[in-house]
Amino acid sequence: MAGVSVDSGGLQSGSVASDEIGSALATEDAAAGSSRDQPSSAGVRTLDAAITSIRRRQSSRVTGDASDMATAAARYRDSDEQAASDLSVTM
Amino acid sequence: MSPAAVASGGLPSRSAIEGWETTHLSAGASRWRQSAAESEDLFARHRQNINAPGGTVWEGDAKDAALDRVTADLVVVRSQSDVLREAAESAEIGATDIEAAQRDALSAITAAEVDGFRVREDLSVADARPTDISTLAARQTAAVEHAEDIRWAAERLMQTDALVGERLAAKAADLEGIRFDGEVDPRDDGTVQLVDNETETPEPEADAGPEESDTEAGQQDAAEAGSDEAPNPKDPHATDPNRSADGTYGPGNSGDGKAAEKAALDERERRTHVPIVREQVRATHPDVNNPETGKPQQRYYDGLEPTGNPDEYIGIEAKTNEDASRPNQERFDDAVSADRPATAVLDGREIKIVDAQTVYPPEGWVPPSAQNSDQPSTSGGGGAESGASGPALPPSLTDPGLPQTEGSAPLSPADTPRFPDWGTDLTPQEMIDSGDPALIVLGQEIRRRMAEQGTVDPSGLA
Repeated sequence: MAGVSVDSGGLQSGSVASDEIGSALATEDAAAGSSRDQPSSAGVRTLDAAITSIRRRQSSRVTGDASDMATAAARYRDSDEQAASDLSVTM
Repeated sequence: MSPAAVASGGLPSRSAIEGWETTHLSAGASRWRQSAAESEDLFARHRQNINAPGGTVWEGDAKDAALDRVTADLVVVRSQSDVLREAAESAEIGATDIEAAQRDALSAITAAEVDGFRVREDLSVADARPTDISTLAARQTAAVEHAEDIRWAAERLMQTDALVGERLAAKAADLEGIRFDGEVDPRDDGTVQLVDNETETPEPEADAGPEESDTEAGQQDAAEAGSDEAPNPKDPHATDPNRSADGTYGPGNSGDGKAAEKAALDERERRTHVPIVREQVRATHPDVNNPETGKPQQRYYDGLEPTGNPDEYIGIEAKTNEDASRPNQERFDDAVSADRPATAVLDGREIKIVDAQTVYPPEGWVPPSAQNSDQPSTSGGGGAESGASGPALPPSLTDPGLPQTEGSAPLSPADTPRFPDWGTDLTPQEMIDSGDPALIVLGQEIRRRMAEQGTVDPSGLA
């Protein structure tokens, strides 16, 4: 295992920043919405719908990562505190 | 194109052509490029958050795993963005193509009006000049050609627009298929639901009276303009002889001529193992003009056989038998060569027709009407004596005193063009007006062939 180096506060901060990125991905600019019945308009609407879908998936991916980072930060912190507690008991 | 702006047969109306838009494509292209860039930027920032969270150092197996994952995700996002940029480019090119097709359609309308014809909302063409018996035949021919030009350009506009829509829908499907590692069920996370291309059926509106009247008048004028081929949902399907243009099957659409064409093309495919494109396109040749009008002769082949070279085809003419010769077609076909090809547009692309060949149904092929004696024969087959007196003909067609349809050309048997093996004493217009589905199809087919050859049937007989 490689050496571990972490700043749980920094990791928590990174988690918050990524969560904001996830929110930004979910709030794409709304399409103007063409109501014309030309076939190409349907194609535009289909592609807009696909973009909405992938942006939602991208957002979900990033917010999932952000949540993992927050969890990791908490576990690092807990582990550190638990280790500190164990050591103080031992000593 | 508003729902009410559709002419009969699915063609756009004149006002729809005039108001055809492409702004949704350019706006979409801009939106998609922006979205692509934004996603890439946001994911790059997210990756940086993992690489150095809050600007601090993070090292260890967990960090390596997280960084590997987000790096792979960034590759996926870039792939998605590439598709978006391709879609944007496709939309912009499509907008250009559509605008060109719109200009062509408007030019066709303008050309008709400059030539003294009136183009109605349903794209029918009527002569706006006083009737002059000495020029009647030439004007009728010109009207047919203008109507055909306009309809062809309108069709091309529709096809071009539809092709752009299909390409964008294909890009949407591509986009949907690019997924992050581990994404499993596409329907669990709000997957894209394809937007259908449903169009509202034009309904009669309270204020549509004049337009309806206009349409009816246009149909009447269509006789004089040769535009009685005005698109009808029950016209034969462009590629399937057993279906109407609206996609429904009907007994009236299974004429022997179409069946013979299909059999001939099938036989050709069986021999060559080369699939034939069975979409009729309008070909022109730089050296072949209509002797009456001086305009480029138009030629419709029944099929196009790919040569193997890009956008290069052999024009295939299907005939029922070797006696069915047509001088204008032969003159056109004789001019076609690899050095001097004919040109046409297929699916929005210009193609070359480097050779022309005639094919026939296989030996022993029997027309459908001869296969089932219970069905009234409309193709004649045996000659003039069998065409006009079948048991299923409506009474009006057996009335020898049936008046000549208004606008038909005067009798002049000496100039009667030769139409192959369809002997009948009925005029094409009488067939179309008969109410009998099979005769309607036959009459329209004869009209179409006449328009194709640029000929007038002065005798009124086919």
